[in-house]
Amino acid sequence: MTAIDYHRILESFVYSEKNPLMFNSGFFLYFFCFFLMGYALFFKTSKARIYFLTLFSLYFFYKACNWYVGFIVLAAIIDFKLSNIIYIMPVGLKRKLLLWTSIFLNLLLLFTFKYTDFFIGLMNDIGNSQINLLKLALPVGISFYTFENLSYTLDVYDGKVKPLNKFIDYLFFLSFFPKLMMGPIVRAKDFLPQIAKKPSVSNEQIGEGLYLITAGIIKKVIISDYINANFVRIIFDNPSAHSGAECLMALYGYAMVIYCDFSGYADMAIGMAKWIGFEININFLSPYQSSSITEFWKRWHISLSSWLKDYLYIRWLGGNKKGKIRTKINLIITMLLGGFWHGASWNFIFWGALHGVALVLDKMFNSFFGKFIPKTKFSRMIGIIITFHFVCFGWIFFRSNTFANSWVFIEKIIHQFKPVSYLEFFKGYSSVFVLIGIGFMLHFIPTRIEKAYQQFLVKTPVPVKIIYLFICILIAIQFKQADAIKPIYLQF
Amino acid sequence: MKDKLFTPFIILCSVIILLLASSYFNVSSIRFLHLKNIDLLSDIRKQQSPKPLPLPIVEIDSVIVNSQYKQPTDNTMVIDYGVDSNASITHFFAKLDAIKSNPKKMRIAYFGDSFIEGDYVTDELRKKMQLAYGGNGIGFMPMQSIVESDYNNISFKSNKNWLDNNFISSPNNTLLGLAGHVFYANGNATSTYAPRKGGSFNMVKLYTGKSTTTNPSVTVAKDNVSQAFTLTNSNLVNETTISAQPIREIKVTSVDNQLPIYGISIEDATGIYIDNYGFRGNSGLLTNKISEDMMRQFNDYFNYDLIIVHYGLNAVSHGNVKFTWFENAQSKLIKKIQSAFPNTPILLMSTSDIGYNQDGTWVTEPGVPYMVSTQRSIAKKNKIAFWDLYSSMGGENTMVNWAQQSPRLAALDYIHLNGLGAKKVADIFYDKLMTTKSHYEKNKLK
Repeated sequence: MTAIDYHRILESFVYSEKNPLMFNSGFFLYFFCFFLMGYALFFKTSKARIYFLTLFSLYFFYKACNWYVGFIVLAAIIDFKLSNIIYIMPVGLKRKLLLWTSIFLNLLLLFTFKYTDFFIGLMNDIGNSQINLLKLALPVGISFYTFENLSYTLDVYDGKVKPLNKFIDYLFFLSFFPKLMMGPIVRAKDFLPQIAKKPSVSNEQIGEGLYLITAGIIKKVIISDYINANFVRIIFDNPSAHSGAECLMALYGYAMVIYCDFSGYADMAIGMAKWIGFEININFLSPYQSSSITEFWKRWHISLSSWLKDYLYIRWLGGNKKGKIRTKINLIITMLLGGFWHGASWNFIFWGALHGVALVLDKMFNSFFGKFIPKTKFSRMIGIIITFHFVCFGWIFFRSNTFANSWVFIEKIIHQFKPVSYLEFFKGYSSVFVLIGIGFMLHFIPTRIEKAYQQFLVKTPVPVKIIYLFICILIAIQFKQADAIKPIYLQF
Repeated sequence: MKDKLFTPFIILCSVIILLLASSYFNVSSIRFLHLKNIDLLSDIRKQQSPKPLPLPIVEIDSVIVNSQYKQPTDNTMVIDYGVDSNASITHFFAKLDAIKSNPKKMRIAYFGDSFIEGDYVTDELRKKMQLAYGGNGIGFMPMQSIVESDYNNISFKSNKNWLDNNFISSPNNTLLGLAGHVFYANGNATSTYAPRKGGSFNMVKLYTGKSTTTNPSVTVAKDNVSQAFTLTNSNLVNETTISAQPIREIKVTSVDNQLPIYGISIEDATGIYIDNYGFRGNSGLLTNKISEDMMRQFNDYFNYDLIIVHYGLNAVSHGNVKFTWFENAQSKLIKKIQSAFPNTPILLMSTSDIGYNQDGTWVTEPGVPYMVSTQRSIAKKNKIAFWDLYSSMGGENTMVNWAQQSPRLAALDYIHLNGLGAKKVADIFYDKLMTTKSHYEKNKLK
């Protein structure tokens, strides 16, 4: 091993484009450890604690996305000010106008960075214009904090939340680093009360936090990243070069990748928040255990789906209060926009619409046939299988690089299923398939066993907790550095 | 309840200490577990300049003793170790010049692996050569393929009702054609071909084997007008011209489960054609399973003017730098080709660069330069031409750069090319081939 380079130590404190900070970065271990120490020291006075946490959060954000950190401060200033004015203003047109100004400014920021190129592309395709794409980099977390801002202002407007008096409290809420990058989308009314009261860290929170952090590491680094790097992304990159069997396994693999990636990151966020005495609502509830698409959306990315339900579907579109047909249309619009939230492409719009239509059909099916279907374990199992495969079908569009590639992928599964050799297929990808299998097995573990395991971790003495986390990180490092798997068609 | 403020800090701090301590254990010595060493401080250690690859000595034969040519000294040019033989690549170059003034047909066979499957590389190479030397058509096409949608130049669709006997499903089948496949109808089997970017097919020929059925036939629909063709049944390989008029689409149908069909050839009366014989996973061992008789029979129709042999990708495995088995197997294949296609120049193309993930960083697979050196030595021993694709595409870490640059030129496995990369490789090869052509023309000594 070579000597320590002090210049590189200094460098590691600065944002690096090649190596932005994530929970699974090496730097984060030191960052979080140092943070925990400082936090414990500053814990006594509420003011110092908030300043310390906010400063750390903003630094974390800077390490993750450079000077884009400015946008979150800007967004916080605008929303804090406007919400306070809205709160004291009498009901009337002016107040409404202010609300719309806040919504407009938030969406403007989101649209500029996320959707401008999509619409330029659309204009170039439809008309004869040849406008160059802006190719702006998307500020990390913008989709999440924009929604948090919107819900705060709307809640203040509706009188559900009393606005904060201190700007630093609002900035703290918006920038709270565990949930900053990949959610969950935290609601002001759930989070703000926690700022005021003096949080305490209990033994339960430490045990549950450890459970969630390690679950997150296993999901994100061991399962998701490995399957994705060695199998899924290669097949989705060029489905036409692979057999239907490979495409189908890549699809099942992707179902695991997206779930483990997303929920693993959220688990780590929730676990870390617990370690500093904050509670964030759970974001995923074993979604592939759902026996209908309606149930799926109550278990998948809960903070987003409930946000869309409360603010878009009910508050804006009127939910189910405008007649049966409008309800259905509202549902489809909500899901379509929800799809568009995920990314600026036709793939996401189609994916959203697909889920919207499925939700409508599910509701219709339930109202016509629901009473005839016995609620047995068997019928639930059939429901789970159908729902899972529908969700997977949607993932094809969600993950494919282009809309055309999605169809190539489907065509491969239907018409060209057979791999060149089944033996090589299973032999070559065995490690990936085993991990996919383990992922699904863990996913279907009953909640009571999960809870019992959590309780076990709560009760274990600190040295065992240390060894447990140590082993978990050791395994993760091994997986992170594992040799790449060669595509099977390289091995004859 | 007592606050456990410091506990998370104690847990994490202890874990970091344990991780730092474990950096000093060399776990990679536990061989059967294939563990990687842990270094929590790798990000802040002094960066060493990357360890240079222990390169094998590459001999560049500037002069082959008593040769009538001065050999090229640039190792990105084609070097012909058989330049004085009857199968010298200079004969191929001479023919290229000849068809410019006196249009004739020339043909190249390109044997390879997944690197070229789906008309990758050959598509662009053919385009360039046909632009310079004439020709209209993709050359040989199979009846069915797992990469049908990859063909960039041609819309190719089979109804998947062909039983495909191939190198993998029936490796000892003596009826496998040059592409490594032989197809039989399994019910009503059809294959449809149409130019993707306008233009027409001027001449289409069908290649079939011996059927146990008397008077075997196929139905051919040309621009939706159907016609039955009775086929010759006497030889191991039989050629039937199924279209000699410009058409926009052709559909071949067979219901005869006893009739071996190899494929079609889309061509014209003159010009140059490149047949893509890419088969995924092939290290060249599989190609050796084609019978010499089969090679001869095909050559009776195709009269190849150049044969490109391009493997290596599937023979390099991590940790290996000795490729004696490959050298022996490849030499055997070359000898078979030399015997079946006498006086046809053979060009051995080296493996491309291959990426390898070394503890999270992609670099060139260390065995690659050794493989290139082995391939050069095979060419030298068998007195055939050699082209170093690895060096010509940029050498060390090229595939890594190609997979990481924008727009990408390589697939995310750091092994294969994407469409853009395939085009680039074809452009480099064409350019180097032409540079070599003028070199040999200028440097004839005697």
